[in-house]
Amino acid sequence: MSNRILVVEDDPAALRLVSYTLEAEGYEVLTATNGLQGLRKAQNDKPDLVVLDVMLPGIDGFEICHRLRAEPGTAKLLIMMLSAKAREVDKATGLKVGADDYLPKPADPSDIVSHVKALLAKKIASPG
Amino acid sequence: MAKNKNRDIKIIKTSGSPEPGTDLGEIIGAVHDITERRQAEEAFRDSESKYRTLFESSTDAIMTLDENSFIDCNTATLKMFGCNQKSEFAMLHPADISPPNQPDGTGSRAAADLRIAEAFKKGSSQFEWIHRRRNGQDFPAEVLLSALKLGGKQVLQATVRDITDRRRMEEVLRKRAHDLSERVKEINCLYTISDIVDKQNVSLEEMFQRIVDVIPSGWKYPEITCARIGLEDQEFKTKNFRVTNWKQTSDIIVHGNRVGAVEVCYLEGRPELDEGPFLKDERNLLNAIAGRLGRITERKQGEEALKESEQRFKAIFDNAVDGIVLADLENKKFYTCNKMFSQMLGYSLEEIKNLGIVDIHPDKDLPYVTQQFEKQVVKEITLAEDIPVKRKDGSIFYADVNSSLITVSSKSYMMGIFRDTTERKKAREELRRLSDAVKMSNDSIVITDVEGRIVEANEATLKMHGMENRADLVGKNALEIIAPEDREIVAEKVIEALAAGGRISAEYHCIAKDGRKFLVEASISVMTDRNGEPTGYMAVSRDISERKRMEEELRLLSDAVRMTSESIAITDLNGIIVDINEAGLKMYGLDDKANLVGKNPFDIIVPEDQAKALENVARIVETGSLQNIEYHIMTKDRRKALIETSVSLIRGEKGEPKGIVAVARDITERRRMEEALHESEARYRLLAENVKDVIWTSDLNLHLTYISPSHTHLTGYSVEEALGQTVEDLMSPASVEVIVKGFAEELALEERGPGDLFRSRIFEVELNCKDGSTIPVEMKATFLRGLVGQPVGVLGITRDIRERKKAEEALRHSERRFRDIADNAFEWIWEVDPNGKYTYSSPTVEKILGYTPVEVLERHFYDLLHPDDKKRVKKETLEIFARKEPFRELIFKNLNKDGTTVWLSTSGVPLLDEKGNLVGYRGADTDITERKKAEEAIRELDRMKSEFISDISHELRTPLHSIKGFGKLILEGKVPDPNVQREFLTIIENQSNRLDKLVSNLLDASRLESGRFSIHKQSISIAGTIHEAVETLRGVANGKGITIKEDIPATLPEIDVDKERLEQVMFNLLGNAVKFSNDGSEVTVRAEVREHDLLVQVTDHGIGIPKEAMPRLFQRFYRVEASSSVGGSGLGLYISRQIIEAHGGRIWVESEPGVGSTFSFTLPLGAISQDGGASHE
Repeated sequence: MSNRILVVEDDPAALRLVSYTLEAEGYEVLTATNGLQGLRKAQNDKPDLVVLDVMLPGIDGFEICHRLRAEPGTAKLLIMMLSAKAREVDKATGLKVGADDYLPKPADPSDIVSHVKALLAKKIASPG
Repeated sequence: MAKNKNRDIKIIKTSGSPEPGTDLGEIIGAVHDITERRQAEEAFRDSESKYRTLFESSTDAIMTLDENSFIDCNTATLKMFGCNQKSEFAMLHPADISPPNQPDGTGSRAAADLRIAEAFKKGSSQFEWIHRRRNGQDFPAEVLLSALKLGGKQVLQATVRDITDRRRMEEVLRKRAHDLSERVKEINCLYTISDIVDKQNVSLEEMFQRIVDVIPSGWKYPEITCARIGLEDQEFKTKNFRVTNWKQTSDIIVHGNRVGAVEVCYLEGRPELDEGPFLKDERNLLNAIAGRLGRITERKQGEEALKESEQRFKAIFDNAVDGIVLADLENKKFYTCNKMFSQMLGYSLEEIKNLGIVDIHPDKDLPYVTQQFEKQVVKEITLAEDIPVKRKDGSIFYADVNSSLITVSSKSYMMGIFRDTTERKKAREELRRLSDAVKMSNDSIVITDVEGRIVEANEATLKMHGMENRADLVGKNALEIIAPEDREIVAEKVIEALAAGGRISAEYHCIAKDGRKFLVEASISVMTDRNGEPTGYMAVSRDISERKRMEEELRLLSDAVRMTSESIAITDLNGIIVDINEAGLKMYGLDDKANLVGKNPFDIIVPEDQAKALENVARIVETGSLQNIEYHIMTKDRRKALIETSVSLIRGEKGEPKGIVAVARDITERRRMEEALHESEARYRLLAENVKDVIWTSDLNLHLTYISPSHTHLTGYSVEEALGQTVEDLMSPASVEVIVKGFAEELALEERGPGDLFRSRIFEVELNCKDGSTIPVEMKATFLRGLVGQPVGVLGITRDIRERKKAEEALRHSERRFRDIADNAFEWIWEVDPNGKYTYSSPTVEKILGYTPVEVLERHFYDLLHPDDKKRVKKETLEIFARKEPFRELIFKNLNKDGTTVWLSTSGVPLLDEKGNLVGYRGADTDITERKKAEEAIRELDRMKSEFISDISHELRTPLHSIKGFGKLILEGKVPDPNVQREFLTIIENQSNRLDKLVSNLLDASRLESGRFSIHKQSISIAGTIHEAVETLRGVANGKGITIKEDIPATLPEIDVDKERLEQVMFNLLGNAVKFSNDGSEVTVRAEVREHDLLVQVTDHGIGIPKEAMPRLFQRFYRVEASSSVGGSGLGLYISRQIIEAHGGRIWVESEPGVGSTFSFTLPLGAISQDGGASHE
């Protein structure tokens, strides 16, 4: 069964880019364009991984990550943050709120793919 | 024997027994010695000239006369008759110098003539006559008439002799003769009595008996007379004695006392004559007898006593140990001497009587000897010592001679008592040999002769009696140095000794030279010579008054010893303790006496003092006592203490040392205090001498009693000068007033009662200097007080305050300056105490914090802090205070009185006193609220800036991400589908545009910031511009389902605007409206022409803008939070504002969250040409 990846991104162009890239790799891609939508989909649609932007309307990515981690259902969810907030402090914040990875924009699509793959592989390796 | 001048009368006195007062023993006889007269007569007959001479010079009255009258007379005649001149006498008839009649009745003239005739006839006639002097005085005379031839003429020479006296005497005689017969009996009686009395070997009783028997014979009628002599206890009477009515009594007086009476009685009555039965003379006789009896008794008693003493004297005289000799003063020959004297000299009594003083002394010594005797006579000396005397055999011995004048039987003699001192001399020699021993003895040794006269006395005696010269003692009788009350006892004892022949001991009191009495214990023995004859006494005595007193005191003090806090220990002569009192035990640190007895007190003396202690024990035995020796001892609790001890020897009965008593006292504290006091005194002295301030004391009259030397430095007056000055001299008049007044006030305070004894008072006065100037000084004075706190003087310190005054002035000046500065400074200047409470605040505080300085003074610094900062700042500040550090530009949030926040930058420095203690902080605060706000704004701005940057980078990155990403995909051939390619390329283009716009905005903003923003106005159609903007954005709007409605009037005036910029504004507003609108909502653009401007409004129904975001909306980089994802640089509105305002317009927003927003701006109409083309730099 192919991995389901949820992409939470409000910028249409960026969303299109990531979705296309991942679909081209054969992943099933779900999308959400704002934080709440993203949360809902993460809880309900059971993705294997979430690609999470930070600059979102409503609640920002960090908050979303934090909440996901707080929820038992999504606590172990793989989360990769992808954001134009590219400072070290941002990365640190991301990891602090529980992201499994943090990728700054602009990100090469192949990099995106490789990071996703790595994460998924890890998950398989250590399930539960 | 008497010889009358005019008559040669010899009166012969015969004495039976000499009886003063009675003249009955006298037998008077008279003999005429007419030898001279006869010779005169012969001489007269022989020669007329001789006669003449004799005539004139004769002391008898001689005259010549013839039958008729006197012819001549001599001077004596004139004298006899009281005439002045011979001429008066001549031609007088003897009857003229006589009374008319003679005693036998015949007429004087006739009688005289008869006598004359008789004389002529017989040749001479001798008869008695009564003459009369010229003054009428009659006198009896004896007249001798002699016929002679004178100048051829027959004349008569008359020698007249005044026989008044003779007559008188003859009269007396006659009377006496008459009495005599009567008296014979009496005389006989008395004579017999005398006779009886004179009998030497008759007792008084026998005498009286005989006398009483003789008495009647003296009375007129002896046969019937009886007599009795009655004495106190005895009675002598005649056989026939009987008391009758006819009695005569006379008292017998002996030594003024009536001891009895003599009575004479007639046994039968006798005729009473006018004198009574007893004759007056008999009365006298009885008295005489009584008197005699009295005197006899007296005399007899006296005689007896005299006889007794005479016998005694005689015995002494005869048997005296000393030689006694009497010398007749007149012939300097010895009159008599005693046995001893003759023995001493080797002469017999008879031989002695032929010797004189000069014979018994060696010739060479005679002058000395005589001198000594003479001195004695005038009582210059009493004893002539060691007089050399020559014996019969020529040998010489020495004697002490005591000579004096005596009178025996009214003859004066020199009595000399000679005492052979040869033996004594020997004895003295012996004594001298002993004297060394005697001298050294501590006991008094006195040696006397047998009479008790001190011969020798040793040093100890002198000391004991408080005398310095031996001479004061030697020669004195030993009894003199004994107290009067004890003399008898001692004398008795001595006699005892004499009797016992041995030694006696006695205790008696002596008197020292100064009258002090002291008790001695003496041993007296008799000293004898070879023959056992006593030569003197030796008394060894010891003053035991001390010892006695000590014993007494010791007895009395036994309790005191027990109770005293001083240690009293009794040791033997080696120092081993025999007994000790409580206090002593304590000092040794022992509980039980038993532990101590047998111990040596040296054990507790520290090693370094032990040698001294041992030494002292030896000295005690020598000297008897030692006072105030100091030792260090180690007490039980290991403390080194200093003790002061006095030690005395205890002596036994005979004065031998028996033990030692030691009294000790811990004086460690006392010593410490003494030393401290000494040190302190020295320190104070040093202080007084060296301190710059003048230290002085005065009495209560404000006269200086001490002033320290610094006074000279201050005023130029020396200490001596100052001490002599009065208050007026010392200071200016005004100052004097101040001082006097103050002093009076203080004294008045004292009167009211003791207040604070240590209070002092400060005066500022002016002192006079020697050079005439004055110095301001501050005097601090307090009372010196006596034992009960009463003021006895004043103590003061005077300080030169010139510098201080200068400093005060400078300070005042500086303070004024400071005050001026403080008042006017922008900073708020303050001072706080170490707890942070304000002690000073400049007025500026009101401007800054709204509190008046007075209000601030009630508060601590942390009271003014903003609650946010209060706790932290208070803590930190107090820590700084504790470290006494200065602080600089610390920034705190404070609270203005009105509640607003005030930011203050505060700097402060610690204020320290001389010891370095914190007394407060002083500093200044600057109001930096504005600055803070500005800083805040800047920070905010910076924050916004960095957020903006972050956002910008995000904004930049986002499209880049898309561009690069899609580009990559395509290049990598990962987009096979051409349609997808196209789609991707379109996205790339769009994103590029977006990037472009962003960059433009950034540049604009940059330009705006650096002032390089410019607008170029030109007259354009607004409507067209707006419309264009709308069209441009319609596409995007449609994408979101948003419709843009236009509400613009067809005809809008043309305004001078920068078209491009206006477009920018429209794009911005519309873009925002679309961005923030909800899907499917409507955006409206309308324009309205108003009076002075053009109003353009863009309304959307989007999320709205929260109220708090409103103020910052048009600021740089401001992005409402929720809009971050929507993109936008945050500069849009800012730039729009800049643009609109550059045109002279206004831009604002009205919004309600959840409803929508309306952005409005205006562009002014009319004032076009003014701003046209101008660039806003």
